[in-house]
Amino acid sequence: MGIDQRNGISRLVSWNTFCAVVLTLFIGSLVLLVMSAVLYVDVREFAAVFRNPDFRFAMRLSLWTSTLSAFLAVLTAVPVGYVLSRQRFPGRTLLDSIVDIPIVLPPVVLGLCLLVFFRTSLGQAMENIGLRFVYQSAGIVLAQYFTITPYAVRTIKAAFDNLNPRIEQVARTLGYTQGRVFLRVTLPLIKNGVIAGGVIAWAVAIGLFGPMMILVGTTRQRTEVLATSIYLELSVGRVQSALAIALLMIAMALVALTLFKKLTGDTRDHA
Amino acid sequence: MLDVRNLSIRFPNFALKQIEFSVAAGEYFVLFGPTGSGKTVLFELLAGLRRPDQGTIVINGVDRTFADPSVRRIGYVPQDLALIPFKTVWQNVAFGLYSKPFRPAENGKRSADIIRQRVNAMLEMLRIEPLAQRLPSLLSGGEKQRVALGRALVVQPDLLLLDEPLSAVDEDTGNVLMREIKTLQRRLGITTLHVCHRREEMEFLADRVATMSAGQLCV
Amino acid sequence: MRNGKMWPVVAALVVVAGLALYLSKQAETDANTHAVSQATPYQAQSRFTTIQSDRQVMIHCGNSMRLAMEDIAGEFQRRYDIAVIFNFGGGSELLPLIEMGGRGDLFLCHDPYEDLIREKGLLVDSIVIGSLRPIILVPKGNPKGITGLADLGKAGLRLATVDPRYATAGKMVHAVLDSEPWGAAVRENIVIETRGHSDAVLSVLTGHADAAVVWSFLAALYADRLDRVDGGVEFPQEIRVTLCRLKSSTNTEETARLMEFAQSDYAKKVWMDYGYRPTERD
Repeated sequence: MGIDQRNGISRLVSWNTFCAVVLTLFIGSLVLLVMSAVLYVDVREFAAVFRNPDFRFAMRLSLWTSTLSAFLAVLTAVPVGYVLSRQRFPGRTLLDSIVDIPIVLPPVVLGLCLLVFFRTSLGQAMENIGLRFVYQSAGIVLAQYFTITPYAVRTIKAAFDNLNPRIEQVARTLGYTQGRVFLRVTLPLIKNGVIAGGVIAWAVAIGLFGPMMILVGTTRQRTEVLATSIYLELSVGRVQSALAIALLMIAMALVALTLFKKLTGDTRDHA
Repeated sequence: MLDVRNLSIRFPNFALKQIEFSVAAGEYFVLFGPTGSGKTVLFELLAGLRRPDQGTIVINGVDRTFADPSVRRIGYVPQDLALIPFKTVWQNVAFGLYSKPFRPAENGKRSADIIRQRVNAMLEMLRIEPLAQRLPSLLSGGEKQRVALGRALVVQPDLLLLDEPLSAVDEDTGNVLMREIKTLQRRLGITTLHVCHRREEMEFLADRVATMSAGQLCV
Repeated sequence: MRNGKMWPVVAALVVVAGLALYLSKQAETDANTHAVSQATPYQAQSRFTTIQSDRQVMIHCGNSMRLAMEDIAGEFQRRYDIAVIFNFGGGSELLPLIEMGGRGDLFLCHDPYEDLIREKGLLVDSIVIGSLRPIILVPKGNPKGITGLADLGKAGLRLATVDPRYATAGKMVHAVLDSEPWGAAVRENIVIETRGHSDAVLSVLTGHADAAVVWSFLAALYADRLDRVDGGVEFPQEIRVTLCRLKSSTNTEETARLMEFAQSDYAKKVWMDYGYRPTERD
């Protein structure tokens, strides 16, 4: 194949340029979408949204529930990801798929499953000893937790997959127990993956609405998160305030996702 | 010093069959054979990273067949070296000395001081003292090799396992390193098991040679 | 990128920038026609807020009845110092939580949800608030001069309706279209069938349709931007709005109070204002 086998298009545009154009167009269209929302909303709407106590409550509730559920998701995803990445046992692939169920499940159905669970005798027993979730903000955390943990598991398992187990094995021969090796070698090595898993889980949690409506309802100042606010505003045709809330959510997600990239992209260790 | 009897392990598409050999104290024992002959698996069994299906591993008269890797006192230098990427050269070498079984006893001096002394001495011996504060990603192949050696030797193990230690460096560096390893081994008098597939490496280093092929060993 | 040609990137940027400019102009015209008259920003409309009180009543409220009920609940709170706690949603979305959550005093819904909760044994009793019927919403000033459902068959008219598979109003409209001679022409003009009522209204607001056939109460929500035209036909069935007392009700006295207040003169006026027709139980 000679050098001049390139056809017309590829002579004009190099691969790098092509990629840059696609990137520009994609990001441009995303910015365009957000811009159209920004332009549609009256500036006073943002101020009004901020002054509204219901919105402020929803924002606080969204922040603490999604942060707590992301934390719990990571606590779960580290051991789960470790087992799925490292252990070889019959049925591992099946377990791996079961972890993904909440990703496949329509969010509303997850809420329904949880609601039905709390009607069973086990669920009732839990409520009797004070573990209440239906109609409670704890139910928000529960619904978020089940929805986002698969995302955290995926990310953290990938971090384990990319890890050279030899490093841990050598540490074992240097006198460390498995637990010590995990704390002193493994965990620092997958730190970026763990943070990335936490951030992506958090971002999914803060936008989650589907299961809330079914499990905890949409009561203002009790179980209303930001995604609920958007739904409530839209259902009575207040497009402007719905968009204003959505844009504030986008701003928060943007900060979270930028953080995610900063922590995973540039600082990755090369073994 | 090391007695391996009837050691076997079976995998779906590979098996180590009834491996038997002994290594005397201070001896440099080379396992010679092509890649894929089961040398790395044998090392993993010796280091306790795998459990054999049958057979025994006796180190210094104690049956260590199923002992935990952390108590075997074996210095293991794997083929890919497996340096800890977020620790500096100094921290990598010192790492084992902070573990429970290898932490130096306080004999009038604080253990932190003893560790510092021993690590510095090891870095000096391997001529990597100027690199102490570097991260492994900034080292050449030969330098990485020395760090991995230092990390294994500083805990004063009973047995040193070297898995293809010269495979990742160019020939000149390899020849220098080869001489240094031999000198170091003589000086410390450490019992060493070395796996390689280069004839000149084997001939230069070995006190005794065993050949491995397809999971079987001929002493 | 160092050796790549820069011009395609620049071209892409120009395209995006051009679109953004065009868009901002669109939005400006939008703002001139809508935003000023959209006098319902987040705070402007008197929004309902639950008061703090020892006494309370919890009501599951269908989205269709929300604004009217919030108005009535606000007045109720002022008069009786009883906190009204709302749980909003579409009727079908509220049903599982009412059935399995075991909480709430009242359920404000339209047909057929009263029958559904009666079948499930969740209903104690109910009162009829009024009835809903489909009406036509057109842009302010009624530029196409529409006087009834029959006019919607005019050539070139773009009509938005709600999907009969999901919305009762859609079913009712299609039943009429099936029986009237001009029905086929109207059907021809349907450009969009939405799942929810707000979406159908939105297509008129954004100029994607000339008229929308939706529930009567929506006229009140968009009174500042859209005109209402009566269908001019009799619908074969009537959709009643009922306030249902639930088996799970625990605040007996407060619940009775609110049911009573929902039929007071004050409440009747609010229901009327929001387009609910007074109706008696059969």
